[in-house]
Amino acid sequence: MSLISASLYSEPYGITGNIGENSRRLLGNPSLDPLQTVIREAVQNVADSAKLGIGPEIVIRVRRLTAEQLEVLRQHMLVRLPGEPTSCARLTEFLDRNEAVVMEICDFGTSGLGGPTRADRIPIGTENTDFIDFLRNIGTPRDTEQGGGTYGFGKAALYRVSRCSTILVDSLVAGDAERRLIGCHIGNSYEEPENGMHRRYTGRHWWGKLDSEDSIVDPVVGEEAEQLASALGFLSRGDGRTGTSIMILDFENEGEELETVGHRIAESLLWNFWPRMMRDTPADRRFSCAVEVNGVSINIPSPEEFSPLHLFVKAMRAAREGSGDDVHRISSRRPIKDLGILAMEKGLRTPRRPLVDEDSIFPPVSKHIALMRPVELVVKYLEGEALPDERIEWGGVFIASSEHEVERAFANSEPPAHDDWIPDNLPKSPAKTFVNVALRRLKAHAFDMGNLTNGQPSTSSSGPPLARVAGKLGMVLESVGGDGAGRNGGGGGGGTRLARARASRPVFERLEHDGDSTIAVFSSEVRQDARRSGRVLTAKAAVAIEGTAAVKIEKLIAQPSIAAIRAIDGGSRSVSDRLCLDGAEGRYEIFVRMPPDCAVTVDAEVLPVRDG
Amino acid sequence: MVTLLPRLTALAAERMLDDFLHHGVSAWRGFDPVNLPDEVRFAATGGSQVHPVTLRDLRSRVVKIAKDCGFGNDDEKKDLALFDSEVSVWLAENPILASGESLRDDTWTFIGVAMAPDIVFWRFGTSRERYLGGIRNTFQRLWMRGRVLDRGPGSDGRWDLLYELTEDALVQITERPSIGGDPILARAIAEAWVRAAMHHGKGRMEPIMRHAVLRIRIQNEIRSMSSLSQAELAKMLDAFFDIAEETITASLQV
Repeated sequence: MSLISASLYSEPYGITGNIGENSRRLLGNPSLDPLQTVIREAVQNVADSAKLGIGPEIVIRVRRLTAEQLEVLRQHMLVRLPGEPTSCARLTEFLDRNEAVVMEICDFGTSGLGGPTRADRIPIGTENTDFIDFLRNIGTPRDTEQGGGTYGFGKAALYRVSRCSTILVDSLVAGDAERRLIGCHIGNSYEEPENGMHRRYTGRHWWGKLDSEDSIVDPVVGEEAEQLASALGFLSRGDGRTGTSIMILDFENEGEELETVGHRIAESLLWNFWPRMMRDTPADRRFSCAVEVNGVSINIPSPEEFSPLHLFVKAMRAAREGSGDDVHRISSRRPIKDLGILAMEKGLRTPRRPLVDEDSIFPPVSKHIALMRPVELVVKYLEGEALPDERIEWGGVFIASSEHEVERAFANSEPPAHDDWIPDNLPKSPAKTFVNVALRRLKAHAFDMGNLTNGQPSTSSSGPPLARVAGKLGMVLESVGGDGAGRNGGGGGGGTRLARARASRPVFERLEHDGDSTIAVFSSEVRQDARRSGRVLTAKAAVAIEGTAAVKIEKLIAQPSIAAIRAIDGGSRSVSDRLCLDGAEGRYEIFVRMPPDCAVTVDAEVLPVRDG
Repeated sequence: MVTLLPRLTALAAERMLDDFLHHGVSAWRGFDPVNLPDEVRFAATGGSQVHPVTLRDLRSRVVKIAKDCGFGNDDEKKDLALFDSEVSVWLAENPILASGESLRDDTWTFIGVAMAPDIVFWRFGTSRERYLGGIRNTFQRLWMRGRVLDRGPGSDGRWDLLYELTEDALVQITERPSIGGDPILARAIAEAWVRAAMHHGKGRMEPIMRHAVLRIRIQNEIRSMSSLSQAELAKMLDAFFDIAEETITASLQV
């Protein structure tokens, strides 16, 4: 079997000029890192090409080319290198490497890159222009209804992660089942002398099959393509497994272990595409994803079981159904328009099981709303306030309305990398208002989640708040004693007897005047034991400080004194701090002479002996 | 969000303190904010646990203040009053401590026993109550002073009371629950002290303050003093200081 050898075609400037060499910058400044951007871009493209009514199968592989595969690359694919010195150097460097690393993004069950292979002449009635859109044109608007991409610039991301800016594309086209293989490189523009003139080139180069008529290369097709693809290690497309494999040459792994890169890819797929990976995503939209590193597959947990995505999954279900406990319609008032649906979900923060050791893209505490259009690809996460209790976290999902005008508004506000909604990208219009209003409402929701307790006045309060007054009253009253609720020690007479005669804690009853001085009257309940051994009731009074008797108090301060003790039934009476009981019991009043401007406490005690 | 601070239970603290006092400060292994003692607990409530970097900063800041006041240099005279004032201000201004966490004794136990026992030893020696949580804890009492005697953000001489009052006056205010627990009353007494000290001289203030505070505490049982207007309260407190001064003077003449 002899393999075909591909030819090189370098694109010259058109007679009327070309746009220039900015194709690598067309992505704008994506806010994400290059790896995430390329995964997002590539998988969005896959989503757009999943037109066959079945969910695409996506396989992302990172691998080292074998010596044979590298040799095939040298001898049959990149046979001639571009004339531009930098391009040539980068490619040579790659081909000379001991370990040539490539990343492949392969999809199956998709339409493949069909349609004409030349961008200038398109047969009338042609609908499918995927091939030329992907490999020839720059910035072609989308044709997929509510597709993920809208600019066609995204493919620049693929070249960005290739150190030599080169990709190989192998596609099996649905319908006519044509196999196509082509290489593409984007480098700097340059000039070459030709017939006494400088011939200018754009810096774009293709490797494929030379058309002898016009010296332009088309993809290698059919059996030749299949053989070459197989020799390069592309995944087999037997049994009509249509779709596209993109091989990114000299993949920029930024010095990381390939296995770590594999895990990062898995994280990236989960973080950006979980709505399409859920178990209950409709079959025609559901992605089946696999990641392989040097032939070993990397486990991708299902989003239902991967914290914090499980919260987003729940919110997603509620948003899709349009009902749930925390589902809100987001709409604008002027003009009146339904903009989409927001669903929030709270849950206990479960421990993270990160796929990578460092720099995981998953936030430690989820406090985000995933923003998406009806295509259900996450555009970005809008960050809000975390709940005050870190053991609980929340996640939300906003799906823009599928109504054409609204969907277009959001799509058009996206920068080329589709990783944000920027209302300022739109001219002053209802569309701009839609995006502005939606973002404002969403930010408010995201903020309120963490501040649930604030600004929620109780609807039942009908008067001014009482907390201040209550606090002051409490402060004044806190140390006051009284005979409030509690067990009544004196009740049920004739019941059990005490082990020892005693007096209850004296309780304040009233104030009385005695000439110029004030008398405070306290009462105490005296109960005897079985032998009626209580002989004497004594009482002590002290100035109260901080609710208790001041034990050590200076002589310089006036002290209270006991003026009298008497039985409440008028039986016995004493004008000192001692009263003879001789076994009697009942309620007694204790009269305390008060110094000015103070509170007093009184203690009463029953003594068993008269002179105790 | 509340920053949860480490807490050390009394039992564990007693044991660690025994160890510290027995082996002496030179044998102390230092404070490791990453590997806290096993006995340390955090509240099982909302909030985020303090970051080791924050703990390390707390420690290095207090060490810095102590060093400026003579810590670690036996030749230098200790300026303990300045240390107390500076630490009070710093603690009161520290947002990490502006939560219910600092109302808890076990939080301060952690600081005294685990984080800065060397500073406690330098400031107070081996007195246990200065390590363990409570109003006598080296740092807790300073934090409380700062909180209570803050004249408020933006006021002139916001922290002057901390520098003007003597140690005895500060103790009288902050170690009496009915006063220390009532910032309005506490600050008013401090202001009244400053006025009285100008009148009678700082040197005579100790017995006067003690007597005045006693009368204030007795009066506070029957009047909600902090509910009075600022002017009324100031007038009342000045009267207490006057009575106290007269009583003390009279008692000396007897």
